[in-house]
Amino acid sequence: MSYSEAPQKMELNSNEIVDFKNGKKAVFAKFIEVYKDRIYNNVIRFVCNQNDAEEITQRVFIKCYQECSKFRGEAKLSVWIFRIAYNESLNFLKKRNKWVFDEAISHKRRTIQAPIVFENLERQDKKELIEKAMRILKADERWVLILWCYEDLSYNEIAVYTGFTLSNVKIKLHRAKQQLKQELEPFKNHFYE
Amino acid sequence: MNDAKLKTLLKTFYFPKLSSSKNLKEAVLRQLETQKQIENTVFSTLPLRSISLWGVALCTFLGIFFILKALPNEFLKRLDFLINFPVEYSFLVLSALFAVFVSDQFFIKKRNVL
Repeated sequence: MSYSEAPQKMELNSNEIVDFKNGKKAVFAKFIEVYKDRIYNNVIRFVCNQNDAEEITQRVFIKCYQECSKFRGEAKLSVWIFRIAYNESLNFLKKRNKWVFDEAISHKRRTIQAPIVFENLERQDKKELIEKAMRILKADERWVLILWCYEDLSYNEIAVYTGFTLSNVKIKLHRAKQQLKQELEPFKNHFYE
Repeated sequence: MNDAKLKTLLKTFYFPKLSSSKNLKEAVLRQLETQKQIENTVFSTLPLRSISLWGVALCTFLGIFFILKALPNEFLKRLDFLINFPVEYSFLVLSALFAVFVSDQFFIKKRNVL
């Protein structure tokens, strides 16, 4: 059986999902094509580092291939791969002890030091400001926020995608939004010059 | 700042849609191929994880068996404990390891099976 290259938003059909569960390479190649940008984008927003995101994305797909037989098809394939992506990202950061420091800081809920000159914030500076604010968030809050913002998911969908309870999602998302707003409030006029 | 503004701000300035590297797919497939070759050895065909699990389970069973055997006589029990203490200590450690393995298995399955 041959499979054509998948466009960006295409999903695997039921036959392809069966073949995917059987670990067929051809359909797995299509699976990568379908999900690679979506996973990569969300992972990079989560870890804030391009090289790490590349590595994690590769690990996610390798994990998917190794565990494809365990996919029972009760949830959407995207839900399954997003959970793997979240777990892999967390494991990656924990192993590298990279986030330990940031997490420790995040518990103290530090605030960003305002730059001395911010009248003419460049695009890169704006990105860095948001990045700093994002790093203050706890990992699970950050992931929930990413799903809400970039995947445009509802509370219920986020709960399905993360495995958190609905009330937990609401709390985490509320905290994340409040924290970000608080951190970015002093600079809000400079984002829309 | 309301939610909609926050969303727009993030979407505009914080990692707007990027394309993953063009050779990501090839890199993954290449890694899988390499992994397959490495795994395809005589040792990889042995279910080492199952063997170690069953080994630890057997040790735990034997440990409990010896402890129970030493119970009836108080004096013998103490003597037996002193003699067998290193062995029993090993059984204790192995039992703990067994518990870790089992929980590890359980959580791996729970996390990734949907």
